[in-house]
Amino acid sequence: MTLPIANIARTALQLSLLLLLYWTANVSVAAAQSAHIIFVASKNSAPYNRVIETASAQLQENYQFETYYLEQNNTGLAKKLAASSLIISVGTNAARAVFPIAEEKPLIAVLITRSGFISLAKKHFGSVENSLQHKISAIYLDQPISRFLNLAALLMPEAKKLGIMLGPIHKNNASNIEVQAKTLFPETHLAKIGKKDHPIHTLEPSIKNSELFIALPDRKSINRNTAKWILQLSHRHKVPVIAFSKKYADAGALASIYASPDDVGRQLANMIANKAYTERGIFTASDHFSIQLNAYIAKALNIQLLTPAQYRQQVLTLEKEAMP
Amino acid sequence: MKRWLTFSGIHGRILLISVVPLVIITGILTTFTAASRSSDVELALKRVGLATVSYLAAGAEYGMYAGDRGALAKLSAAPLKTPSITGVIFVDKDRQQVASTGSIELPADMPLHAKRSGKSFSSAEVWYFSAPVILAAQTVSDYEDESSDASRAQQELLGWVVISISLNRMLERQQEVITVSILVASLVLFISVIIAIRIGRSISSPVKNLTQLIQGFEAGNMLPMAKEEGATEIQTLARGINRLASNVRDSNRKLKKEVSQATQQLRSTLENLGNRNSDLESTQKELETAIAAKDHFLARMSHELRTPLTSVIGFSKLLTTSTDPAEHDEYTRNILQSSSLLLSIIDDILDYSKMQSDAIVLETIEFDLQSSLEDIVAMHAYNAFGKSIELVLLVESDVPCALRGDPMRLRQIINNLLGNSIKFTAQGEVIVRVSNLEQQGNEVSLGFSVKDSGVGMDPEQMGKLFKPFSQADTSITRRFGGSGLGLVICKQLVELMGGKIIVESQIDKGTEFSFNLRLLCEAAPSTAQSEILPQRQQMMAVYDRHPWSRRSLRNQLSRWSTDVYAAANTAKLMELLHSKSDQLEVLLLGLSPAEMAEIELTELLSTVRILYHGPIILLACLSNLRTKIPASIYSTYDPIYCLSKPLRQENLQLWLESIVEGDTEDGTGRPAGLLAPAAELNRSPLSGLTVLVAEDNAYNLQLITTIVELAGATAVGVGNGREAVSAYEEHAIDIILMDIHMPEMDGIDATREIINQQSKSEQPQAAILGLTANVIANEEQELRKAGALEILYKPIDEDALIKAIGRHCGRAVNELDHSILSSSQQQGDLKHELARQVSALSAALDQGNQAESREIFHQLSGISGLFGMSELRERVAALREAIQQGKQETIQQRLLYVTEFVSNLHAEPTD
Repeated sequence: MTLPIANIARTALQLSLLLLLYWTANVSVAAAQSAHIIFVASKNSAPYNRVIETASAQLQENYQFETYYLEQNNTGLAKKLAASSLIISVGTNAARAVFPIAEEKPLIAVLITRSGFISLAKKHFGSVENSLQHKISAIYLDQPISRFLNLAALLMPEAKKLGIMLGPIHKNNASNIEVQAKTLFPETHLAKIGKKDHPIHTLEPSIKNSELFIALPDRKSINRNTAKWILQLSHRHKVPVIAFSKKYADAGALASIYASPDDVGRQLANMIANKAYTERGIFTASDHFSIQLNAYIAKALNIQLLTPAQYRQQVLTLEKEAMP
Repeated sequence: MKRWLTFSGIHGRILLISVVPLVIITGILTTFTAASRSSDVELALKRVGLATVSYLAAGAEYGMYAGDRGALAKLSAAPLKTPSITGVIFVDKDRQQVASTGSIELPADMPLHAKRSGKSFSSAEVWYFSAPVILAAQTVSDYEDESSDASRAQQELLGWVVISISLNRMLERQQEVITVSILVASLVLFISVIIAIRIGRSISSPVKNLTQLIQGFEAGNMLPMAKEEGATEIQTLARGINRLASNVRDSNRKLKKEVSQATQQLRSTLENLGNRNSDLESTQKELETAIAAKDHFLARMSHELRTPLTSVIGFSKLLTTSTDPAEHDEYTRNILQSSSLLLSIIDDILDYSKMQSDAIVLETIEFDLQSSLEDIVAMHAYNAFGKSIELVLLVESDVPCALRGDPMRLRQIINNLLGNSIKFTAQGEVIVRVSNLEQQGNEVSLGFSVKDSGVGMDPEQMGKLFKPFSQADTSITRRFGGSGLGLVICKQLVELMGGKIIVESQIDKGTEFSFNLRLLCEAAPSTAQSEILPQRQQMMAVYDRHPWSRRSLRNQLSRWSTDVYAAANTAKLMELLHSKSDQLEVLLLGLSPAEMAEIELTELLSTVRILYHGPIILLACLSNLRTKIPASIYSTYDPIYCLSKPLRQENLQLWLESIVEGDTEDGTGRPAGLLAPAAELNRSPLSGLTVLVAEDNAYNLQLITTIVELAGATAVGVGNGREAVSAYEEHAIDIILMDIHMPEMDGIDATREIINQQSKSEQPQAAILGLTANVIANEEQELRKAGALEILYKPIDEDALIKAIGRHCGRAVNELDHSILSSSQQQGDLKHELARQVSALSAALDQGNQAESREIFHQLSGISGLFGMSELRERVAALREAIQQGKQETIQQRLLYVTEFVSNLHAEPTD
């Protein structure tokens, strides 16, 4: 008689253990599927929050989002970052802050210029390649030079003379840019500006001799010191300018091509969803971009414009056509 | 002060409260506006400078950065179009000039700020504004971290732009602002003042109109209405005032009506009160009059009682000195009459008392009316003929004389009336007349009247006649005496006897009292009477010029004879005698005083005796018969006899019987009652002289008259100078005794008047002797100057007086064997008179009757002077002085001295 009871008890215990193991296995799977993403933004301001909101909106399922701002007291942020699945720095300063404490966690830097990411990567990982290996990714703001040239061609199809301001970042790539530009504008004038150059004296000949002038983004100081004179000389010599930010277009450029927060957020969401950063970091420009037109300038220069969307579509079309 | 007063009105005050704040506010506002506008101009200039330099600084960034002088010059050209900006200069950060436009030179000491623009420097005429030209970075990043980086980027100073602004225009502008502000302020002030004045007037004018209206209301003019104009409040006020005025008018009307009614009631009440007051005053006056009359009555009564007593005493004395039986009879009769009068006065008083208590009971006894009336008339004969009054008793022939009634009351009535008439008649006649009004069976209605030709009365005086203790005139009491009860008693007696007394009077023409009585007459005349008055056939004639006397005589004769003739004048008499002298048994000659003169009488008698040789009876006043008919008349024209008027019926009868039958009682050949010839009585030294005595003091007059008459002279007494002049004209005056102080006309004027008349007349001139109690040389001198031959001093020395009269009339006068002044009777009279005068003086002083007081003083002075009472005279003089000084206490004290003197007079012999 003892045996059956013992058997029953042993059987019941075995069944209980089996049930416990089953419950534990299910819990572990669920935990592995829900990624913990921490956003660290340079400021609690609209552009940054817009990026976060856009990305979060597209990544609603299986992601936990947590946002920190640099201006807050972020005690224990390193531990939290260490416990996260993915770190996203929004803004150059956020990237600068997060890079040292990100350790081995995947990190995506957004709202950062290409030169800025390169500078941080060199500083913390020695090179951009090393940072990519450390699963450090970046979606930088700089648009490809081809897009500027395509937009320029679309805006002023008859234009032959193009001026391009080149700062120190593009100094080494100047010949490539010139070749690429001349495919569309046979007469291209490059205005190469160094730190100590007098901007007016450098820019005015190029602008004065061009029908269209493109201001490529460079270091902040170069951008800041040249923008006023580019616009003023553009006004003086009635030469439309194509620039790299919405503010530039508002300040007096005929058009700007740039990555807006929504563009970046959508790009970020795609990247997270595709888990492209898990093995190796990705260093890329935003696939999505925006075009801003200044109708007043266009009217002053007697230029007939299409809508930004039309120009965007045409740029994308040209880029698809240019792809092999 | 005047200036301030001009603002006391509402208009002024409105102007004051509106204009003064307006001026102050305008001044403050103008100052503030001018200062503000000046400051604005300055601020605007500063702003222009700052804005200009700021714009230039902003615009110069490129030119300064690029070193583009052309651009800077072009930039600075525009500001220079602003008139105040005189120059623009751009300097680099080392203050080195980069470019300049206009006339400007950067002051060496002008501070230039690297970060701000502003007015860096100023001189007297120029301001300098500077602004740094800064190279600012252009932010083109879309993300803020980069923008902040850009903002934080260092801004580079490129240099300064400096502009110079001239202050001249600003100062001109400020001047303009001040000028315009003042002009505008003045204009506003002027307009405001005008508006204030108009508003003030629009407010004050209605108020002023209302004020004038209210002033009109105050003055009692409630008719005007306030105009409802001006402000709403004023209109409301005007409406209110109009309503108020309307209410006041209504109230006034009501009030006036009520006042009118109240006034009417008050007037009515006052009228009633007035009437009552009048009644009270009248009653009081009557009471006072009655009291005064009583006082006077009491004061006078003793004197009135003394008058008949004096007569009794006087005639009694004469009776002792007379040996003539006829005189004895006459004196005795007079004594009896005076005693009766005295009794009658006492009876008056008693009667009045009885009448007051209705205690009089009339008698009904037989009496002879004729003799009763003759008794009464005889009592008054002496007084009447003394005043040359024709006293006539006329009992009409149809009047029955045997009557039944109360003869005493009838005599009392007649006596009173007759006494009054004689008293108030100075000359002329007094007629007592009885007539038969109606006779039925044995009842006869007789009319009695007493008529005189005296002073008469006015209606007012007549109204007082029958009131007790009053006479027609208060002066009458003093002048004529009397109890004042006589007429009252008469009236009441007449009424008691069933008659009614009436009085008719005219001033200066006379008075007539008449009454009627119904009496019983005897069925047949008594035996005695028929025996006494047989109807004879002897012819008799009566001559009397006075018609009433003639009629009376004729009536009397007619009772004795049926053949009686009367002649009214000598021609008629002669005519009668010429035809009837042979048949004429007796001729009665009624002589008037004028005919009593020796010449006239002689002439009359000689004429009569030519035709008639029978008995002649002279009828005249007893005194005239005694004094004026010379003894030679009797012998020359014998047979001639005298009878005194009024003629008694009984005497006449006896005489006629004796004449006719030759029956005389005393053997003298004269019938009873017939007086002896006057020559037999003439045993006085002044006989035949007529002396005019002018003396206002009645007592003195009586005394002197008596003295003169006792000395044989005929005295004519008058009370004042005017009467003296008249008496001198009427009578044959031999000598005049003239007092100096008299009413109406004093002795000096009267003397002057008489002397004046004497100078125009060829008749013998009467000597004038003055009488005075004063020793004032002036008066004596005046009197002598007027024509008085001698002055006789009071007190009167009888002997000296008689001798003086005799001396001036050519009569030798021996010593008098008697003295009037020293007689006890005279002393008693004197004391009584003095007491009366003092009492009257006291009453006059109490009543404040100065005229009366003066008169009494004069009387007292005269008496005291006449009787030589020097102490009394001094006391009276002292009293008079006290009265003149008005010291009541002294007056009373000195009056007491006088009273004491008079009271003690019996113990004080005269000095």
